[in-house]
Amino acid sequence: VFDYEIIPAEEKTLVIFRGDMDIDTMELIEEEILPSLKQYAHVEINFSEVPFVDSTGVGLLINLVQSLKEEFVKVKITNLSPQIAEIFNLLQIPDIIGRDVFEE
Amino acid sequence: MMRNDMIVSTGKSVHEAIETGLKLMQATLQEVDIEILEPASRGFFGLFQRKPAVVKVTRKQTVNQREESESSSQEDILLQAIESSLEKASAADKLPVIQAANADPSPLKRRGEETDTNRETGLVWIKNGQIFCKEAPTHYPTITPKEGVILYKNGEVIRKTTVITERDIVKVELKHELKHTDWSIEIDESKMKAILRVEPGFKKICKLVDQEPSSHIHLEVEEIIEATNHLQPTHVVQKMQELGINTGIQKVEILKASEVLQPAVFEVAKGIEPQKGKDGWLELCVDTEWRVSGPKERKDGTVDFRDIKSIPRVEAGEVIAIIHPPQPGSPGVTVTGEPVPPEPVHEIVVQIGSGVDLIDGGRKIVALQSGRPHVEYRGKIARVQIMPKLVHPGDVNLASGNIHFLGDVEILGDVDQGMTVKAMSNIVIHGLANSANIVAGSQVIINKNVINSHVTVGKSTLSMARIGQLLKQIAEQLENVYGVIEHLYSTSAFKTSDVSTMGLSSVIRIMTEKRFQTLPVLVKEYKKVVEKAEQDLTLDDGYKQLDVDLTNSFIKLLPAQLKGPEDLLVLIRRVKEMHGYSVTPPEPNAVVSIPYAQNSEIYCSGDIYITGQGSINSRIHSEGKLYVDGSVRGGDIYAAMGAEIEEVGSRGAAPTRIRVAEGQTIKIKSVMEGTIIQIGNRSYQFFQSEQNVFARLNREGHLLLH
Repeated sequence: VFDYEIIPAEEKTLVIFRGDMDIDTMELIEEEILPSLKQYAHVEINFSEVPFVDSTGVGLLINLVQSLKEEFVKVKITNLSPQIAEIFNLLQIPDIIGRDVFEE
Repeated sequence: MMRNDMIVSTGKSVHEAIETGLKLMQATLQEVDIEILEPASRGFFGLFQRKPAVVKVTRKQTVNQREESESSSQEDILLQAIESSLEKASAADKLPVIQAANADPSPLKRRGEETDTNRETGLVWIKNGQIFCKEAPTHYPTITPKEGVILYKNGEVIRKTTVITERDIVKVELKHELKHTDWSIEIDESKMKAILRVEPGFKKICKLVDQEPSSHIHLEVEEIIEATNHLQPTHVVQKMQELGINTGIQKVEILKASEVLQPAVFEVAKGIEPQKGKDGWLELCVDTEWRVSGPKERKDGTVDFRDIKSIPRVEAGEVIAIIHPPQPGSPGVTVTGEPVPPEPVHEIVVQIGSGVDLIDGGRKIVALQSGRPHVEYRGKIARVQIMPKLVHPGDVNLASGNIHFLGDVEILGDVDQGMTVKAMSNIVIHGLANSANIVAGSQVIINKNVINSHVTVGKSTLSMARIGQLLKQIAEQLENVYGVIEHLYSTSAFKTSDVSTMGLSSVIRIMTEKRFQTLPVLVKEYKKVVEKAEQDLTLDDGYKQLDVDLTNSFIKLLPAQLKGPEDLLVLIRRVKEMHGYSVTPPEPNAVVSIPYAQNSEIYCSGDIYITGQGSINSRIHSEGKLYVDGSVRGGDIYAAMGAEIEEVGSRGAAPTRIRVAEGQTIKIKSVMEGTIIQIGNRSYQFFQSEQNVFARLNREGHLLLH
């Protein structure tokens, strides 16, 4: 089951995703996570506890990052596992949502 | 130094005593008689008080015994030097002897002929590969070795020029080389043949070159190289057994390989190729093509110059075609005895259209109604139907409206100004076409004049070329998309949990965002071209269906369209199939037949016949051949496969142009000045009228007119 945690901080708000990012996370991401993150200036999404993704989940992530960027929220994705990084590269995710999102 | 004929010598053993005696006498065992005077005996304690062995060595009297001479002091010194070297080389006899030189009787005889002994020179020569020498009292011959020859004198290797005497034991070691035959057997990838490569070996024999007697010689070596083939057929057979080769063994080739003296390759086993079968096919029992024949004699004896009205027709109940099942081929065998299946054969898939049915257990196609039988092939699919036909009893005008019909159309009257008649297949107009637009899939006959009109028949090669190009690019992109999806599926962190609800739409949405962003562009372009082509002519349904499916998959991203990678594979196959269809020659049986065209545009993907007065100021384009029984005045005429025209040109008007593709011909009975003809990119303008023109290019590419 997918779960998340938001740890607000002055400099950077940390968001921890836990579980598979797949089609079942759609409601949670679109209705809870996206609206609640819009208020922050700087967000870091930690992926260290995401073991699997499906393409719908990847689509949701793209949408989340793009929506936040439209609201001028700075987004970083960190601690990707090499396996998930491989998927992201195959789908050229960095080219879609911006390479800066993945830079430390 | 005087040499003794008899000597008594001693030694620790008899053997040693003899050796000492021989050494002192400068003789070999063969040259002496030996008498043992006293064998050696041991003293009481072995080491002490022992008595030496005593032998008497007597030289045998032989002809080749060296003559005594009043030895000069010089000779003495030389002999002493030789003696000392002889002592060093006591082991000489044990060296492998390749060539040994012994004094031959002949030099002595020759020596006897000499008169002035003081001036005599020693001689050395080579005969039959052997070194001989004859020394003179005051002179010894010399010999110089050569690289590649090892010269031993009394067991020592000589590298520089040396003196030799008759007592020297001279040996020569010559290099011999032996290379064995190399060979190998290889089975080719398909296992349909075994190849034996043979590289025969050789023997290289070195021989001393004979030389005339001389006081000094340089050794010369002659090399004799002889090719040898050591390959035994039994070795080949054994090796083939080891490799498992048991079929199609070529014994003659193996024998040839064992005899060949140059490097060569032999096919020592040949598999049996599978025999190709025959795909299923459709045997037509009736004529299905609109025939346009040349002049032919009618039964009543009159001549029908251009009979185009033989429209094929079947009656209800008539068998149109017999479906033949495929005939499988026979399997082959590899050289290792494995069976090789023949290429698979395919059934012909028959699609039953309107007006026909299958009978006789699906083996025959029969007409259910009378009409024109129509067969259309697409790859291994044949669509058979009785073409539906619309007969319009009067004129086509504002009152009747335009006519669009998926079948054949027959208009009994005229087609009036601004009106369009469009048919999927054939159109026959009994009247005339005035400022009309006539579009047909395969054939058009207009019985009266065509004025200010457009006539388009067959596939437009232009839009077909574009469609083909786009489908090729789309197929390539789709294959790449499939490749990435396969890759994704093989990564460990990728789940396909969403495929049951989303199909491939989620992953396609992401991929068309960036990685394959040109794919939606190509699909949209394809849609545009298909829609445009559909307006001009009747396009095959397959292109339209493909447009719908591609749009659903890659523009609308409908989850139900591609439910999984298997669906994508099916789509790829269909795109390729339609691409193949688009590049097949467009409707080669398309025909236009009209009596007269004025200010009109006629396009046909097949032949065009103008059977009456001819054409005036018209643009005519035929991808086939053009026949004009009358005259062509003005306008631009193109006929890809050549043109035959009765008369061309008009005085005082704009020049008439007749073009054909390279390699084709233009025949004109009568041509007026000013007319331009062009074959390929060679053109010619007539500056005077001419008769019976037969224009063509010769081999050098020059335009010939007659």
